[in-house]
Amino acid sequence: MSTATELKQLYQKGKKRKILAMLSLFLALLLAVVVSVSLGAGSPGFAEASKVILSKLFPFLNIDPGPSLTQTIILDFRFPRIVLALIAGAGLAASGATMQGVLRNPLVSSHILGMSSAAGFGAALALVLGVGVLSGFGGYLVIVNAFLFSLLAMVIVYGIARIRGITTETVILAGVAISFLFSALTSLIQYIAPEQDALHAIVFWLMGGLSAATWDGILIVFPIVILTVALMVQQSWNINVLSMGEEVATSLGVSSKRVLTITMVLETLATASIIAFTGVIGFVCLISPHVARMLIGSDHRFLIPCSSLIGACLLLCSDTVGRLVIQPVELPVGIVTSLLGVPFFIYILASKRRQNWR
Amino acid sequence: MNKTTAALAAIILVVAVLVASYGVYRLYVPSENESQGEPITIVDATGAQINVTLPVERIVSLNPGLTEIICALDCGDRIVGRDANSVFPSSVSEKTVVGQNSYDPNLEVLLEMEPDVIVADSMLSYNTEALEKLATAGLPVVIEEPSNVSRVKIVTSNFGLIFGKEEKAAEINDYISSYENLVNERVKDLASSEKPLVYIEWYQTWQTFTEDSIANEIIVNAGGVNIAGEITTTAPVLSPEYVVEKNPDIIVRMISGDLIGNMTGFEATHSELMNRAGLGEVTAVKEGKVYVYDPIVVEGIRYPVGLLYWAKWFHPSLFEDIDPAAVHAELIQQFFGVTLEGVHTYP
Amino acid sequence: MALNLTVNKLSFKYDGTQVLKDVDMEVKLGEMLSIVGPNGSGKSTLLKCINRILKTQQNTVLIDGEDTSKLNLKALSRIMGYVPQSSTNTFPFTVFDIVLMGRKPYIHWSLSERDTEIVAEMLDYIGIGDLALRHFNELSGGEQQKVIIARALAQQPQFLLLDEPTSSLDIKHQLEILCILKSLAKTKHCSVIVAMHDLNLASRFSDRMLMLKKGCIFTVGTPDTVLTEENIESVYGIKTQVTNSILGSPQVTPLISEFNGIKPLKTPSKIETIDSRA
Repeated sequence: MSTATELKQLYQKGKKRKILAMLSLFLALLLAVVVSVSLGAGSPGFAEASKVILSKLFPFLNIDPGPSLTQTIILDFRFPRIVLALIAGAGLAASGATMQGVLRNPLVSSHILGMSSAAGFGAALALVLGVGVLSGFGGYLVIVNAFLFSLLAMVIVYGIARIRGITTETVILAGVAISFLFSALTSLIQYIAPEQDALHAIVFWLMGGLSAATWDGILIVFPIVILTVALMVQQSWNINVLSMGEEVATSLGVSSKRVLTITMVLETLATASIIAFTGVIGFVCLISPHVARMLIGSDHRFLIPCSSLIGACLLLCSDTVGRLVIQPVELPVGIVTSLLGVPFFIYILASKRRQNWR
Repeated sequence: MNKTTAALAAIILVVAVLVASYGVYRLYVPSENESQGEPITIVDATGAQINVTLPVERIVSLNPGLTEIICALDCGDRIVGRDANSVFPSSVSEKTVVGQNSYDPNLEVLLEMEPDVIVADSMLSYNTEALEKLATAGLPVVIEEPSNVSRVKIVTSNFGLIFGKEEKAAEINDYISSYENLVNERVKDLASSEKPLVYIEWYQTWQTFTEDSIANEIIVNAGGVNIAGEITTTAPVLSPEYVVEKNPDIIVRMISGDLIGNMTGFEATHSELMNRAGLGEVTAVKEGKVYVYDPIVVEGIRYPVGLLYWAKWFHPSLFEDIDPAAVHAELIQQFFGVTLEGVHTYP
Repeated sequence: MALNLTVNKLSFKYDGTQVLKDVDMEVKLGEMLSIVGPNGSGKSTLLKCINRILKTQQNTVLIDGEDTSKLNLKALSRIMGYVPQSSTNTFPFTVFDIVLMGRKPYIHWSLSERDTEIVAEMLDYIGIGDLALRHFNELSGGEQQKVIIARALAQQPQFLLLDEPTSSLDIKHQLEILCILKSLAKTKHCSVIVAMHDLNLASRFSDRMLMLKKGCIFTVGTPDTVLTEENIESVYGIKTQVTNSILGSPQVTPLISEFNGIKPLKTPSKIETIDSRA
């Protein structure tokens, strides 16, 4: 019996280490936010930024927020962008972790499941049909269209999968097929687009970026992402069990079809609402779960929140670098994410640090 | 087989080879240029020397700006093929469309038009395959940049030369120069403190024109200073905080292609800028100096119109006596014989 | 506490092929029943039907007279544990995590003290405590099989179903696992239903054996009555001699010469090398 007690303690210790790792990530994220809000092409630095934010957070302290120009730069430009980076990174990474787990495939991402290319097609369609997103107004049509097409892609994937029975293979294959279909349709639109401007806008949209971050957009995305990620975490046990295979899941009292359907709906809502606002940002949802797994293992109760933290961190750092590297010119975050993320990922793969994390 | 049969077979073989060779020769070697006109050499925007045999009676134009120059030279009736965007003056819109734009003309349709010369913009220079095929067909291709303000007059002269309209070309160029000089006279002595800071935006939100761009050249010519005039990246997206801190006195916005032509599009573009989060801090917005323009007014032979608009936006007191809209109408009437229609700037 | 599992006229078709037909059987608490039969005779399918991984008609699988098709999956998973033939895992789960999954039928989201306690007990009981924090995929086949059995035991089932649990293991692991199963049954912890290939191991460890032939029960009974030379010849189509092993259980020795009915493979006239092909 003493061995059993020891084992239990060992497990509790491992759990504490996981929580500690996530706490450290959270602190790193806070640090990244502080650094990011203090840097930019404009002059406000850490001191000015903290004054503005503290005066807004704690109005009763009567802190002088500084000139209105500084407030504008911090509150209208830097802060919404940081918040969108955090939400988008967290949401995409959590979706990636969930779908990789449910589909038992480490290569699954919103790209593979056809959602990105469908959203891209939706946006391209709206841009070509002439909604003047370029001057900002009417931009919501592009967002709505991207969102709807993303949902449509999932409905089609789900529909195709149902024909053969909902299994991981059918979902992935249907997703890949749909992805190619919508990519081709987007290319077709680009090829026959009558307006140079529309073509240009499509290219920009497909590169993905956070420069369109506004508080209005955040107010829409934030609740969706929080809710869906919370529900994904709530499905953790089902996802854990499902990762052992559908038969075993059934014998443990979990209906794989049901879990697959629920998680697909959650993932679609989260991802579609994010990429509708940010354009295609693909890499985060693929890489973050892998980094998280190397850090804290595959138990989705910890993996999904941990992936979210890593995704948020990755996207925020990438966007900050993109804002700074050749300022005042900005690089699209999609490009920076891959340029920074890939070497980092290869380093982690090669160093085999996961041997130390159990 | 006896000797006679062998000899006969040999003769038939030789004759067959000869006939075949001649056929191949006729098919593959282009026939000698039968026209007896005199060739003329011009240099286009790519620096290439192009020999054009006169007279030029059939023209394919693959750019709306070039089409306008051709029509201003009274040669609109010689156009036999056009790109889809060449729709002004309205008389050209009934001509055959041979391509969406300069990049990818349909070579079969184009060759069927039997043009004497093809004029296109620099997009065609990226399509080396099409260029090679056109060269094989022996067709002269002139690649020009009609929106490049420093080339407009050269293009007009060159076209005047090959179309035999040198006088008309001189008239157009004099017209352009007169307004260039007018603006230059009034702004050349301005101290740099008197020149307003200009933020110009196009296509994407916060995307601007920089150092080597044509728009930058026009801003400078009109007596303004581009806030991104020293950035070397081409067509970058700027950090919004940079724009706000630079605090431009004037904001100029190119209207999106799909909104051209109707007032609502101009109004909406204008109000988006006036209300964009963060821009409220900027002098241009505070003082209402936000202007939206149709890119047509700074391209080709309409360039003086755009120049006058910008100069008047930048220095309203110096150009009180000038009405750019009236100049625009006058130019259209004078060179195309039609009445100006539609909205081209706002407000 | 459930005592009796009854299978009543169970039939199963897969893509139009009749895999099982009118199978009747009964398992009592504390019994170790092995299901034997040639490849494709329906052993695995029978286990999956009992566990409702494959769906069958109503009123075919009953526990103490109650139709299991009326139970939800979660309730059933508290009664039956299932160990598949082989397990793989794409992601790096630790052994503890995997065994913890056996507690899924009892947990909503947060773990209770009792859950981790049971997992620790099971690891200790199976004798893989030292592997607890190793990654499942790094283990040997025998170790993995023990982990999966520990997981099924963490479900605290009354019936443990195993699909050829020993077929890819070395003799030591085979014996270890079968001893564990036997002990579970003998201590009336649960009943064990195990599909097996090795007739001699089945004969030695089972209380009763069920012999399937083409989806139908050929015979069922104690190893002595099932493992007869006639039965084996009729079901497997080979001649054997059945003797008593030194432990008393029937022992099957196939009576075929090494080259029984196999024509010699034609020897190549000359040996091909890569050079001679090129």
